[in-house]
Amino acid sequence: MCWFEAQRFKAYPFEIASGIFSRVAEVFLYGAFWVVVGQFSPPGAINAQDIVGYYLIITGLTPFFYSGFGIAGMTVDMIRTGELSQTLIRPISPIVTPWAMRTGRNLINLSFGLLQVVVGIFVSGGLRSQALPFLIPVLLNTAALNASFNILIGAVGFFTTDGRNAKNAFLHLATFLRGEKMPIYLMEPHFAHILMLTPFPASLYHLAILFHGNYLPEWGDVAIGSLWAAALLFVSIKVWKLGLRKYEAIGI
Amino acid sequence: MSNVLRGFSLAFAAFREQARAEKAHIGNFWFGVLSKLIYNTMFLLFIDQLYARVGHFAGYSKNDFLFLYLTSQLGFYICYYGIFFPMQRLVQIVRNGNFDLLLLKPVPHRSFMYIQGMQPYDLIFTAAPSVAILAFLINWGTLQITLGSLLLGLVVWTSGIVICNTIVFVLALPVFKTGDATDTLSTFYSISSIGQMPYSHLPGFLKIAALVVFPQIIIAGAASEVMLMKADMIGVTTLIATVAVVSIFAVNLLWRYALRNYTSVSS
Repeated sequence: MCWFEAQRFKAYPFEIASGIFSRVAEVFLYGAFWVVVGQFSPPGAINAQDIVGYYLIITGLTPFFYSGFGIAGMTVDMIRTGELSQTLIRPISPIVTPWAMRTGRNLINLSFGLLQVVVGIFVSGGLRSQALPFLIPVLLNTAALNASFNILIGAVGFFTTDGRNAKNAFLHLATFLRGEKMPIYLMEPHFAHILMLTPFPASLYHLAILFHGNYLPEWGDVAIGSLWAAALLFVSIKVWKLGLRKYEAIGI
Repeated sequence: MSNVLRGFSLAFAAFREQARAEKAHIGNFWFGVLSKLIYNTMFLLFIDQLYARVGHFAGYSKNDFLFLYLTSQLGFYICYYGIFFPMQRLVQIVRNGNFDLLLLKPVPHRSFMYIQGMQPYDLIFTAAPSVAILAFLINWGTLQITLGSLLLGLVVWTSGIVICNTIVFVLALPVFKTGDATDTLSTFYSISSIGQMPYSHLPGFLKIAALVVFPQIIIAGAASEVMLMKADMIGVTTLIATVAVVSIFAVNLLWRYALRNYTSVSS
């Protein structure tokens, strides 16, 4: 299914070009913004190179964990159009199918994301030996939290046919709170402490700073992330099952 | 006179049809309001955290930056609902063949397409709360704006929207050649992802790139800079207005080229 979805790039070469152009444009604009802020703000306040490296890493990681909630959007669309019924009558998992389809469609983003992470590591210094013990738990947290966000937002489609903007609303919230617009280590300490109590930093920020190399998460924050990951995964699957039951009763 | 009245009546009918279609999805409408409120709240938090860190940058105080952000959002909403959506509709109707029907109608085709495609209901009702909150947060008394700078700034802002229209049309153009432009058109989100940069402080190549690729920098950065008298007002306005006029000629030529291309293969 993933390979089938990726075939569209062959049919429309403009899609490859525009996919690459989109990523380059975004990186370029954010990079330019931070360079201008770094250059024209009081000395020492902002290190543009540090932030550009961080930005490359965190946005490069996004497609690997579906943190743009594209799977959620696709699930909402499948429910709204009735395409989910076709998945349900086949011997395939209705949760995994959008994942496979999205991976195929995301091929350009995944390739460019990998390149971004490599360049970001090169720019900012990269993974250090002290970060290695954190790697497995932080990776697990990131994967579990993003999976549960995608399932949970996707399940909104079972309860309202107009869930597309719900996904957008959540994405806007997550983008700032997980440190994608601005690194959390640059925020005011009391605000950063409050953020660490939410599931968002563990959903991407912790992994980004591990690859960035200049900062490490605290074990307490990683533990909070693990608690959130377990709880949200449980809740999201429950909500999905509840929605699916409702859909099977009236949807097919 | 009767032609003008007929034009208005047609435009109103197309407008009303689109507004009805938007109102049909009321859940999406409310989530849309919520989405914009959240986006703006998050951006305000971003500005708050940024200024807590830097104090000021490039001559912009926090209040100036809020004004820049308001200018940016107003322009973005107009480009998004008034330009991007009609282009999205253009791509759809070319793909499903309905463009033929539009060409058969005795109406000014391009104007009709824009009016029918824009989302007035969403533009007014979902964007208004966010814009009102932003306007409320600005301390208008401390902004350095004169009537002249405001007018010149409005010229720059409008020119930015005109340039944006040309760029978005170029992004939709592949549909006439290859049969699809969904992804090329989606790059609109990337090229308008951030424009809150003071135009005169940008390096030369980025100033040029703003004129031909990143119109949001003109709409936000250049327009607010001129309004706040932080740049060479006459120089910046002349340059950007000239580019806007050139872009109007360019978009007219491209429209004719697209029509020629479409009519030669579709019938």
